[in-house]
Amino acid sequence: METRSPEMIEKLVRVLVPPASREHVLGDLQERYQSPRQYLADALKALPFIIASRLRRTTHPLGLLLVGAFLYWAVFWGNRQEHWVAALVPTLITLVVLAMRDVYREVAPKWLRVVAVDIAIAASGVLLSQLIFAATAPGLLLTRDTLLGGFPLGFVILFFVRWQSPGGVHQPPGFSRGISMQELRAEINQYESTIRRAIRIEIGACILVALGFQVLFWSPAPLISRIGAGFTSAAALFIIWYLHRYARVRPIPENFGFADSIAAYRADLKRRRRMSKTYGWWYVMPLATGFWLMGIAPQLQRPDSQLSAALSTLVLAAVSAILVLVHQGFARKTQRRIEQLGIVSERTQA
Amino acid sequence: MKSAPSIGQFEQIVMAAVLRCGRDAYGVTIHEAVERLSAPKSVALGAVYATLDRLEDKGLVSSWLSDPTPERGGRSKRHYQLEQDGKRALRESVLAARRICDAVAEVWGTEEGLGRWKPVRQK
Repeated sequence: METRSPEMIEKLVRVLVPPASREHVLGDLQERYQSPRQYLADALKALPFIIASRLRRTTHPLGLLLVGAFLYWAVFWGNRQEHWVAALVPTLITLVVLAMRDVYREVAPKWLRVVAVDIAIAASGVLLSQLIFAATAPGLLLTRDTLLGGFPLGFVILFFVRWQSPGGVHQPPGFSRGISMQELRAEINQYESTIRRAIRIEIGACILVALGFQVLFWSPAPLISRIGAGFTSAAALFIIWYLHRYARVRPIPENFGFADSIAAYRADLKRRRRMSKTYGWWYVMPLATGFWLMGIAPQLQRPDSQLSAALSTLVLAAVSAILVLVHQGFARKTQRRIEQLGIVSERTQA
Repeated sequence: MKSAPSIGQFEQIVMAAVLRCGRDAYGVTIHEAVERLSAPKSVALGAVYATLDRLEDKGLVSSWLSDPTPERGGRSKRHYQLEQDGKRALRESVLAARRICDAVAEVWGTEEGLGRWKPVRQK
């Protein structure tokens, strides 16, 4: 009797199983092998669970909601399309492509290239959908303005957002078997380079915001809008100062021993957790106030647009709340890491 | 002292299976133990993987890859073990299940309602 799965079927299953689970899942399937039919059935029944589990680990539901809202309104201009489905389809295509890229992500230190490929695939998916709509349902095509304006500009922003915080990275919390110095050093290096890159991109974005809103501040707009623009510009400058002052990476020296490295790493994680917990105060509040003053407050002066001003205020509040909640989640995750490293440290000392 | 994290029924079964398999707890053996514990219901292998991932994220179990073996086509096993929090959560859920059993047995009686189950804490 054959005791090994046919190579072709195994190759197919190998492609379908996310890399993070591939090694042990393929081994388990091989161990249970009885016939090609049973092997394939086993694999196909297990796959949805494995993909769903990986999706849960690599995707933040609130973050996905936020990106979805950004794509629908800011990139595909949902409120300017003939039919709302026209913006919904490319939004869903982009979300699914990015989420699946995260699910099937292998550990990749070259984030720039990885993120560029992610965005290129998502953009190709959107363009392909436009080709299909052109032939089958022209009423669902995005407007020319959207394709030439919001779409390229939005995807450039999306590229920087993904580059700043790459998806698909999941660090399981268990450390019961201990951690070697090499693993700890690799984790610290990865952590430092991710934070350094994220801060650089954030500071770059804040410089652009500060300059852009300065231009609006000096423009002949209504006074309240100019005050709002000035406020937003000042908020961006404040965030730059704050990031430089408190978030800057303080590298942990390579010559530190195991205990010192863990202690320094935990101290840095505590600093990072504090920043995530207070994100609403130093990031969301200043910027949201500026945006509100600039974009919404002028509407309140006109009696006919008070309802739309109230709705816009609610949307701004909801987006701010989601951003705060996402960062509270980061803070909790960081806290768990701090506790685990504490256990590792105690075990090492014992 | 921090209270034990709450776990669902299927999580209890999977954790009991991990405990029962001891040092040989990996996908295939855990799945077999889960099938025995939840008989006559059959359980998908994928459901066991998903639950183990969730338990790992809650810090209740931990895992590591072993060396590759030839009978698995040169692939490694992912071994699992209960963490301290996992042991505490399992113990608490077992005690709760026992209390439920006792309460039901007091009303239904052991023969009629619960087969051969004997209440642990008789008054």
